[in-house]
Amino acid sequence: MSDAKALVELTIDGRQVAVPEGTSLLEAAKSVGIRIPNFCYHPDLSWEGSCRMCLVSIAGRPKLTASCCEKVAPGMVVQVASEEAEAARRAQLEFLLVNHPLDCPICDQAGECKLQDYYVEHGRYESRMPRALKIHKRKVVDLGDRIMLDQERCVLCSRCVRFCREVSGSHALQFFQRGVVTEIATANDRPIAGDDYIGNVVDICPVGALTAKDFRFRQRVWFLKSTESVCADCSTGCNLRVDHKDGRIYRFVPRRNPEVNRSWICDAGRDSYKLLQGEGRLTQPWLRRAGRLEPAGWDEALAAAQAALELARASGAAALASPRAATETLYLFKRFAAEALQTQRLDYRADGSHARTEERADGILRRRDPHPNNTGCRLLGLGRTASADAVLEACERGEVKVLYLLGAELLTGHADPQRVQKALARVEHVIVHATHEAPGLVLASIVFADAVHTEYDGTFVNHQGRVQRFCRAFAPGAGVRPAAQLLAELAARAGVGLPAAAPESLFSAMTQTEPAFAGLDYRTIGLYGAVAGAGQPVAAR
Amino acid sequence: MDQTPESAPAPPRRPAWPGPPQMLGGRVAPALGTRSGRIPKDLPEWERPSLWATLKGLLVTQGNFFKHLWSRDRLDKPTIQYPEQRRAYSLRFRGIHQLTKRPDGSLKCVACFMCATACPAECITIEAGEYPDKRIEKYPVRFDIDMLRCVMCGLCVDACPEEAIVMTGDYEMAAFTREETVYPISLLADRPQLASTPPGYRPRYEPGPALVR
Repeated sequence: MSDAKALVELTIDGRQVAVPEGTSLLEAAKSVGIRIPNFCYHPDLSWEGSCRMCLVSIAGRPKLTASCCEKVAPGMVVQVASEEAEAARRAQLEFLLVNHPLDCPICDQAGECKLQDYYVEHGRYESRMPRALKIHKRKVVDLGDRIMLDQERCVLCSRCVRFCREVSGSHALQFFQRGVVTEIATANDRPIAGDDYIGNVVDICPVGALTAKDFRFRQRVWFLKSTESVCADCSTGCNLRVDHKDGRIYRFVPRRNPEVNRSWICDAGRDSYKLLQGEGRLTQPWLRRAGRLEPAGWDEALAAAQAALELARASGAAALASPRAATETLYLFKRFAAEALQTQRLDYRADGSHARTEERADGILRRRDPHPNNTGCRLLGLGRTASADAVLEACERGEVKVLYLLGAELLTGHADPQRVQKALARVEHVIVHATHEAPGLVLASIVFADAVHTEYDGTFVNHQGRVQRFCRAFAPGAGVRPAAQLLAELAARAGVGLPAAAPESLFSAMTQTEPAFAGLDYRTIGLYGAVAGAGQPVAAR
Repeated sequence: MDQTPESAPAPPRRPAWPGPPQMLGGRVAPALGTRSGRIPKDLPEWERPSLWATLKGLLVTQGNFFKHLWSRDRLDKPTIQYPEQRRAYSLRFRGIHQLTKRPDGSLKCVACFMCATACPAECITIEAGEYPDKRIEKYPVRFDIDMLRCVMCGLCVDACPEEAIVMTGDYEMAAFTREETVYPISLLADRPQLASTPPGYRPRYEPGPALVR
């Protein structure tokens, strides 16, 4: 990063600032908490300077300068709050509002709109523009499956144009026409297709010109609560924000992490919230009775699992961890397998996704490993056997009476389902923690309804070995319990002392016994995560 | 009762509550002050049970009864024979809401959620949808007001940028079930009583196309 660059000292609004060479004035001001209004500047896009909202006075220059695309220079004396600059910004805001429609009540961006904020902050409330003279442009332009465009609301900041050019590479959105009738559009109004990152233009649009069809009109943003989380849709582990209300997720929005996803997230990850709720979620435990899986209460399911645990200790067991589980849960599961199940047959590589953890699915963010925590499994040393197939072989030989699965990957994702079926037919109890209904679950004898990652606290380790925290947005349903809680309870019933299921205590226990996690602290991992192994590059597999 | 002068000693405080009646073998212990109950000795004079105090109270009631029976006031302030007769309320009366319509008969509401945001009782539930006319864009697919939660404050009317929600003079909302007290669009915009209801609280009172019913 910028460690090697020399520091430049300058003065902004009478304050001494020292920032690395090449930083923009706007960023330099931000670093000392001076906020300069802007529309077109975005930290992860090129500098444009088209909105003219960030004008500042620099001593010795006759005219105002756009601070977003002016590099810092030694000894610069900058005034953000000068009368001249304030007046220029106010005038610029008035220009932007000349043709802006009075749409706020029906605009999805209202509440998180920069134009609205700045207008309230230092705008003129009385417009000097007669309403009849406003130039109208097209509204509700359908741009494919994801995006709805309103050309009237656009402030022509070109963030979306630059995104399509520099990040997604689709060049889908462009400026058309000139002067006051300039507009954003696609060529011939063709719907945008083949851009898997196009959802980001909605997030970076500072006004309501580009809105997401998925979120359109579904909720007003001020009703939503935000929780910081991590995407669980692939091994990249993009940082995101869960916007939810009353136990229902309304959208995933990327959270900036320069080391992982910058400000972006792929469309599949953005949509993954739909999988986390509603359709197909298990809402209670299931138990095999007389050859059929039937809904059961927690007491009977736990009693059945307790009986299975006793059998496991007496006559052989195997355990498969899940790369979808939180690192703390995995650590607990490792202890659980060794102490409660008393087995050395422990693995996590059930569906072969571990081999694709580093493989890129495209040139931007997405990776081919669809699970968030294969690296966590590897760092914890959960691959005790030669491979997951070694566990299957043991099942086939009849050595395994109890198979404990932390996730449903073996039942749903294995390359050879028939072999799994045959092998599991020889196992007396198959206990599985699953979040969703799947045809493969018929092979199980006890199914525990598991929570998804927005319903509990924990960490994932992404492909770089970066430990990233995700937070609980809301409690899981009444019949659903996070696996860690259940493992701790089962172990307690079996008389085995395991650390409490709270993520913090599990994490600190983990940092003491697992060398890969030594030196980390759950509370100090922070917003950007921390690389496991004390900042050392994670060894290749 | 005489006012206690400031210089006089404070009246004796009521003794501490001896505790809830205890269950004794399935029977409730006699309450304080009943014949078999214990009466604290240190009660102030006006709290002591006495026949004289009871009669004094009854005398006041009786006095008022006869005074009004033969007084002229009775004729000046008649009882309103509800529901045959009704009281005339102010034009700003905050009765049951009404969703107003455009001249073409569609709802004026654009589902902006301002009323739901302003509502202190959180009684308004809105679901928005895409309106075919692009100039209108948004409309309420569902607009429910839970009349049991509503406190009739009128903030929704103040918040509405479209004069889409106003209040009427209608205040009869008794129902047999809780479900009936949640008013959907059909009741808010088209209930038959609206034709005979006087107007209530609304941003403007002049007649005109602003309030098409």
